[in-house]
Amino acid sequence: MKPIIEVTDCSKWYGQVLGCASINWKFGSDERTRGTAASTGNIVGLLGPNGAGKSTLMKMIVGLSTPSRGTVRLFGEDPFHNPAPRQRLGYAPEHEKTYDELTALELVSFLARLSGVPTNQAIAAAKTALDRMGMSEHIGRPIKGFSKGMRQRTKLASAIVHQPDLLILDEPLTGVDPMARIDIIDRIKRLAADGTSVVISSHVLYEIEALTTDIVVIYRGQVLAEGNIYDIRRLIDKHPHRIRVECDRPRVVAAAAASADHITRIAFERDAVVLETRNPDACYDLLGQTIVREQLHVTALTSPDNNLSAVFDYLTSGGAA
Amino acid sequence: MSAPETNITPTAPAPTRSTAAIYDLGYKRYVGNRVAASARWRVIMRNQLSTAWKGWWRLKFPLGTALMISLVAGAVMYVSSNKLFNAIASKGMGLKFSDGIVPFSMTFFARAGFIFSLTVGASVIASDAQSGGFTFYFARPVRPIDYVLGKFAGLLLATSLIMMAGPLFLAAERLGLAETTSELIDLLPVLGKAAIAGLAGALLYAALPLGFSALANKRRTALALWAGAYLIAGSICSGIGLLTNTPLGALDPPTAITSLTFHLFDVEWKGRSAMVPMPYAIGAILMYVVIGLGLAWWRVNNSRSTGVGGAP
Repeated sequence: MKPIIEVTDCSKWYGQVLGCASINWKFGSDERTRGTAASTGNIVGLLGPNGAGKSTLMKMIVGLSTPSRGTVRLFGEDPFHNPAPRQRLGYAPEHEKTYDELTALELVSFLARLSGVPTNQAIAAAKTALDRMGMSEHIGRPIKGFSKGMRQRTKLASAIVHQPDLLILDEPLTGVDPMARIDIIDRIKRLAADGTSVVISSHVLYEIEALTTDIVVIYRGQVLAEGNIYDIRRLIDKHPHRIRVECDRPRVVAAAAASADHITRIAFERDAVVLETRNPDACYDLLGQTIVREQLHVTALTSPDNNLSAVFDYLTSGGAA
Repeated sequence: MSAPETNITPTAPAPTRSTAAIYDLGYKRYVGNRVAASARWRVIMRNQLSTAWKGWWRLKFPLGTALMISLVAGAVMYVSSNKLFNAIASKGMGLKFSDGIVPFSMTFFARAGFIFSLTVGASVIASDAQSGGFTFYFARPVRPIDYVLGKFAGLLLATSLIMMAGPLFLAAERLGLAETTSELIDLLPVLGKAAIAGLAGALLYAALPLGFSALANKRRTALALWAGAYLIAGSICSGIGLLTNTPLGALDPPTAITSLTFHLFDVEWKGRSAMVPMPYAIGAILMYVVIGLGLAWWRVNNSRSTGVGGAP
């Protein structure tokens, strides 16, 4: 099956500045996105600090830039030299500047027509897209009076107005207030669940974490890791895995763990004990046995290292195995 | 054996694929017809016109100026059709005063065209470059040729309203003031001449500012370049042409336009020796149109090659 995005040995440099270096990456299946009601889209998060090369990679994928070396294929075609695959693409750039003098409806319908939606359908499509982004009450207002959150929503509406198979969102939550952030995340999830494939970039980890567990970590222009967040975490075996057990007798847990050779550190917190282990599976087995045997009352069992932030820290600090 | 993920990471969401059934809102792929890619320039042209129409100072102000010029010139033409006035005014003139109103008015329409170039034309591409507007076009199925053609066509239509509608109105008025049928028939070519002069002006005042707008990444810089070239360089060329009695004045855009118009209407304007021969005027206008479009094409194509998108 043909991937939606196929980046092969792709490098981009601006003069002496390296944007991307030898990136190889495939995403999605073109066949799947052509599905009907039963199809489900998926979301992948492009993660990386500012200047890592996320936007550079996105621009090459959407055809705004051509790689200095290597190839980029969008729906099997070169997006830079061939406008056809861009018809199936919705792109929300990082910046929120637009034609501010236009109303939201005018802008989105204009961009719909640019994407090939016939003029007599563009207005209706724009209204639908703005409604999906929670902007139906503001469609007649000029964009210059919009807040940052409203601009982001308008930008997202313009990206989905022609109902693309693939959405590429470059930092879509930048500058958005927390309530709007939750709402936009929910709407992006709905789009993905409705069958649209989504590539979203961010340097804010919890934004990605709220959207997806599939990530690509870009660091200094290269793909540092990709795949499911938990799978990636399991691959990081150099770093001890922390498990926090909150229970009525944390010292009993600590005593049981102390004899295990995979435990590297035990720390106490208020009503909790934090274990560091080189073998999480063995540690969970041990914990299960101890809890049952000692009849412990466990109120929480969490893994502080199993979140995106910890994985990202490990990867970018050179701790990856 | 792994512990259940829900117990380990209560804050982490489950993989999105497993929640697909929750959000079935009936979102479907767009399966309707799509407009051919070759027609995208028309979308851009319409957008150029609609954005120019927004606010009072972009298109409406120069258009209002052109309207005022038309009305004043039309009133003067009406008054000057009086025989006594003609007898007085025709001294030193190569034609009837009322016949001269149409070509002379082009000098003023050129000023209205210049105003429009300042309010819209000379900042089109620079504004898009400054705001990251290229991204909106080229992340969609739009080619550089569609962009340049669309912008130019939009500007040309707007400039035609300013520089062509007025002369045509005056030419029509002149026909209406004809006293006899034979005079009316004799005057019919005035309509064509006014259309040609207006179209030449519209082409020049659409293409050349568009080219200048491609020379800078900032709107104000592009405007300054265009205003400087038009007012200073143009005046220098016109002045040198006047002093040396050479066709160098054709490089001054308003001189080229008025020269072409005067030649079309067979006006001998003795007080304006900077008027250049018709071939030079036509050559200069064509050259400026080609330069303007060439600069726009070069800039957009070059930006595409080096990468566009993203506000500075």
